[in-house]
Amino acid sequence: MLTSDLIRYRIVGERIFPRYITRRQAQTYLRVCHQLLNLFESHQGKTQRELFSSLEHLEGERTDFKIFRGLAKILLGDSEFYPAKDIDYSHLRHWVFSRAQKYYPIVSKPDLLHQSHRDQILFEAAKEFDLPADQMDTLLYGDLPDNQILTSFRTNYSAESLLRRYNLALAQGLLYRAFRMKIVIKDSYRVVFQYLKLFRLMHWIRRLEPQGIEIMVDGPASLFRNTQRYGIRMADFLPGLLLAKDWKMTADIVTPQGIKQFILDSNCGLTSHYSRLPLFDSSVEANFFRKFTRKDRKWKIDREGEIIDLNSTIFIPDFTFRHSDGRTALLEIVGFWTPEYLQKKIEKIERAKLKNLIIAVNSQLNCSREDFRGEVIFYRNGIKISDVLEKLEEVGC
Amino acid sequence: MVPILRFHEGTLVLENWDRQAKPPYFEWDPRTRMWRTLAIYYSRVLKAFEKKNIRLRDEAQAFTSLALRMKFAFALYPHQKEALDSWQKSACCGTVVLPTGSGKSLVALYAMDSLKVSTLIVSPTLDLMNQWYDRISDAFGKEVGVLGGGYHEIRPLTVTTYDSAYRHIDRYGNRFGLLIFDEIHHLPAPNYSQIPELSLAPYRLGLTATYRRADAQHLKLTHLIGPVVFERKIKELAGEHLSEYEIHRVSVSMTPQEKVEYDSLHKSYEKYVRERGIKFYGRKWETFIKESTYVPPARQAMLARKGLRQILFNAEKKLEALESLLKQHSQDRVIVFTEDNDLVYTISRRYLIPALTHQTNTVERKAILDRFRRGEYRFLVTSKVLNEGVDIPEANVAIILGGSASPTEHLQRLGRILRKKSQKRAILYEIITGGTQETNISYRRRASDAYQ
Repeated sequence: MLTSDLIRYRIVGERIFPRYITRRQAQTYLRVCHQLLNLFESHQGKTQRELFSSLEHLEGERTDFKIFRGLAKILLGDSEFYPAKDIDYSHLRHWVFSRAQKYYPIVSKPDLLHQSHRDQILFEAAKEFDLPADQMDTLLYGDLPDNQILTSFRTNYSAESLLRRYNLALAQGLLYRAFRMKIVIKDSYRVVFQYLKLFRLMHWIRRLEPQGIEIMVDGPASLFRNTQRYGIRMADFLPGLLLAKDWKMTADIVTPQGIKQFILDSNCGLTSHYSRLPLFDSSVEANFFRKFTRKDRKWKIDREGEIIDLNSTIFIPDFTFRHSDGRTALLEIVGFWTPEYLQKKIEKIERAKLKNLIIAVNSQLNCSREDFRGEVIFYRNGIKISDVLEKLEEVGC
Repeated sequence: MVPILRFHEGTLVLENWDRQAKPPYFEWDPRTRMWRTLAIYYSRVLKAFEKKNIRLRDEAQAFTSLALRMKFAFALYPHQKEALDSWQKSACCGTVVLPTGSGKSLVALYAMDSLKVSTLIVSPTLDLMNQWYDRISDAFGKEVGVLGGGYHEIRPLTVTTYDSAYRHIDRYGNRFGLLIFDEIHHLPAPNYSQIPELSLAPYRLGLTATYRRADAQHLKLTHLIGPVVFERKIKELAGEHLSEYEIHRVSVSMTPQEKVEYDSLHKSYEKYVRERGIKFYGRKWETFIKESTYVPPARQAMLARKGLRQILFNAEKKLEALESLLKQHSQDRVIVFTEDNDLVYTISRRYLIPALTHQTNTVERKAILDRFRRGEYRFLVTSKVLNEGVDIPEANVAIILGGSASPTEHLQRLGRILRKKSQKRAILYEIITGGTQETNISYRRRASDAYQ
């Protein structure tokens, strides 16, 4: 993540744009990326101070130091620093300083009245703590970030992917200051909702004609305040959105010049480093899907389910089935959950009023058939395919 | 079904309540199909329901009562006692306005002692946060949690900064019954004001010496915290217990090598600044800073300025002067202040003196201060940024390794950290680099701007 001083943007009218590294600049900055990757690589085993001073040296008098530092910042995120020795440093210091009290003042140039006891004290400390005497000067503060050692620099970046990541980080940086985000999307809803949920964002939904939905993204307190507190979550969410197809995002960003719009869409060229989340929330779902698709059937199963609009909230049943004759049916699985979750789920199913919905309920839950509106089947260990096929013929329409 | 009140990320939601009947303070949230309000309304909601005789299951509040007892019976000055009384009369909600150095923190400790509930103390800087950590663990002998400065440890008594509290209040806003805001004039900023809004703490105490803000934003504090319950001006308290001290200025010259380097940097810097007519404040200065990110000569001038400051603050001769002062005061309790961290560690390593900087972790910091107070450590070196956060009555000598002459007001402020403990008068030395007049004036001006 880039700190706010490294985020470069441009405001034109009512809109705000990240200053991406463009294709034209790429040659220049690919070279910088190579230099940086080599520099980090060669500083393994050296102190953070040495790394920083080499970075400063490499940066020199260049005026585009914000880009330089931004690229370095991303690599720092992949670096781990540890103290050279695994000891209790505050204990070491206490030992040294208490001993030094007896000899105060410690002087750098001994004279008739004052002998220097500094080296002797450090030598004794080295013996006491079993440390190399010639390194005591740095080891005394070996736990300070400056003196810690770059122990591992594990990065998957190539120069190219580092540049891509930098551009993504700029876009994310703008979102830190977002208080609201609007997404219009026509496809791949599930991945979007999975990531919204993962980053604890809330949403308002509106169905669009003829196709797609509009999702307004914010957080609990947004009902009362325009707050940027969910901006970090929106920034975290962005790479998730990039996994979807056919979308457009508009975020309201707070800037010193007022509120500006940041617009991105599925052609923006940014690439996600997130992986798709597991397609299934539970092994029951996964097993059912595997078993169902093992054979060629008249009913085809689809994981990217239908969106059921519930007037500002939505309901996406776990599976959609389509028969070759055009009939469809839906399956929702109710597994292990808390009582509140169950209550909500029942309410949602209730409000959806779907004739072609099959509900598979874990028989260990404290539920009865009457709790649900719709066709219910119970399961113990796994959902029986035959049970579902039978119901599909009954409810499919 | 009994209506249930829950805490959800800084808001309160009401479950089992009819969609059609709007409860006071709540708004309908169509996203989750629930009644929702900001956590700050917690007390008011409870009262409203009680008034209507409606039973409510409160699953929102998660703060606890504590067996708090102050380990030492500090005597309160009359003005502190009065402040505490009027805060309590105001339902333990409101702000106490007292001048710096008049013991605001003691009022806060007594407030905690009287309520005995989990408490979150919020301060503007890490240094002040650390100071509260020391005070509270000393006063109550309890483990104190820290949120900020690399720590994320929540305990019934926790200290934090405005920044960290803003970031995490939606997670912990139901865990504290009392909120204490130090330097509360920082609170009305839009982000910070969410700290009290997203917390359900029924009790709130604000502390400051300067309540009024030029932008009138302090008016918001009545809603967020409560009214001003007590106010005293510095004149009304003068002479009560601030210490007396003498100030000595020690001027050193640069080494010949430093002088050569300094002059060359100064020449190139001065040339750019003069040609451009840059002043050290206002729009031209801002333009200069901005230009240094894309105009090469501006960038070079900015780097030269950085180099100049480094020479000024780190002149080798200063360390010689320091060494001689340390010899002179080897039996005294000495605090050394520097401008930057690197110098703190140079001094600490060279003279084997315990060091305190913002990098020192909260636990070690407390241990060092405790040892200094007990006399186990006689010397201490710290960066000047700490000066508002450190309060060390035992020190009788302070040595400041400054860049150039500091504003008098600043010295007075430092003087205040050395409080009268014995008959001895405190001594303050300031070691500065001489022979750099022009630059001095500009630095002094900038420094004074900051301290007004």
